[in-house]
Amino acid sequence: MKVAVSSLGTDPDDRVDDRFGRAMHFIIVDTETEEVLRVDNDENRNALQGAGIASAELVAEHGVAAVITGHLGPKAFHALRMAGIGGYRGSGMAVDAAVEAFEAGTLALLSEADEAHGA
Amino acid sequence: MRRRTIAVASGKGGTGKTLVATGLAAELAGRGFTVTLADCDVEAPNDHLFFPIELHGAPVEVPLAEADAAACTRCGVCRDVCAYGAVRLLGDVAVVFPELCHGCGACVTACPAGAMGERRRRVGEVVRGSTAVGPGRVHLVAGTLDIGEVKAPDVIRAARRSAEEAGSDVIVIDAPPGTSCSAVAATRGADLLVLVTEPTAFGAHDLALAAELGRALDIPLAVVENRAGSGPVSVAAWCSAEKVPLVASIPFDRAVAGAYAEGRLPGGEVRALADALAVLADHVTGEAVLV
Repeated sequence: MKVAVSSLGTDPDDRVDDRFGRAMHFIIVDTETEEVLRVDNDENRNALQGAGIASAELVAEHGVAAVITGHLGPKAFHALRMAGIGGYRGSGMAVDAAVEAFEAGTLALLSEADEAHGA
Repeated sequence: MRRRTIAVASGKGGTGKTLVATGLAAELAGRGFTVTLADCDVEAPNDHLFFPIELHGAPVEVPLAEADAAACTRCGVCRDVCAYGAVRLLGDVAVVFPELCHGCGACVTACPAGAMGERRRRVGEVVRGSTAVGPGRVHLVAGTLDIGEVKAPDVIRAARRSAEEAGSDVIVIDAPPGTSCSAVAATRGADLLVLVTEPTAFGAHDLALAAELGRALDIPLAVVENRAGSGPVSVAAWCSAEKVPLVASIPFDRAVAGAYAEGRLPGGEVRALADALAVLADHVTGEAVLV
């Protein structure tokens, strides 16, 4: 399965970016093949509006099943749900550690109730 | 005289647009004119507080794109033609995000599968009513943007259309603060832009922005200074340097604020305010402005 992690940098030991829509980069990890794909998110990061849903579309087009980030705005949350993608909280972790924690099932699932108020 | 449209704007909020717009409408009605006062401050309309009028409304609706999941082939043409990023491919279908959709119809026209359609969505309402004021009459038209909605310009344009239909001598527009799309929608095409300002640094800064807006829209400008004497900035010096007429000055007077706070129409018992509104009304109806 593929997992997209919002990341401050392009290396797997860089930290998870708390922002999803305006994340610096996405690091997309295939947990079966261990293949790693780096996607610069500069276009969405600098969008005037709709960054969250544009980023949701971007990760959906890469066929990911889950997103690891810090926070999802209500529109991004809605867009990911439309695409059948779950969001998990990886605040403060390194990208590779977050993916390991996700595989181990220890990351918290982001819920709408937690997220909708902070947009 | 031919019908004139006077937009009252400010840049900075809270400088006295509503005071001047309602006062000007009442002053003109007092001279026997039929005036339409169009409250286009649709996020906080309050002109109605000054007129005991029963208001009746009609909803403002805008087109909203909608995808037919059964017909959608996921080709992405709708997403690519959308200038607002409102259409996204998510899961098995194109998804329209209503907050971003401007209802332009580009996706409906471009979709090769005929899967994009439109429905109407309510974003606010326009209410109207009428009352005699002195020998004249005030038609009040007020736009209200629904809570949580962002399409203020659509409601403003609907209010202005309604104001045009009222058939009056003068339309006075109470514009929203700022210089964004809402302010443009409220002032575009007006015959005169009355900028209400105050002698503070903030007031002066936003007066310059509002004047820039008026010049970009090719509308003649006039300035009304409110709360004159309350701050260090010389509005007169700015007007002189910018060659914009400073038409009237309303003194910083507790009696003005008191009457306003009680919902009494500006003018009346506060002589200096009544004089300022009379001078503004002269300017609005006078030969110097008539085309």
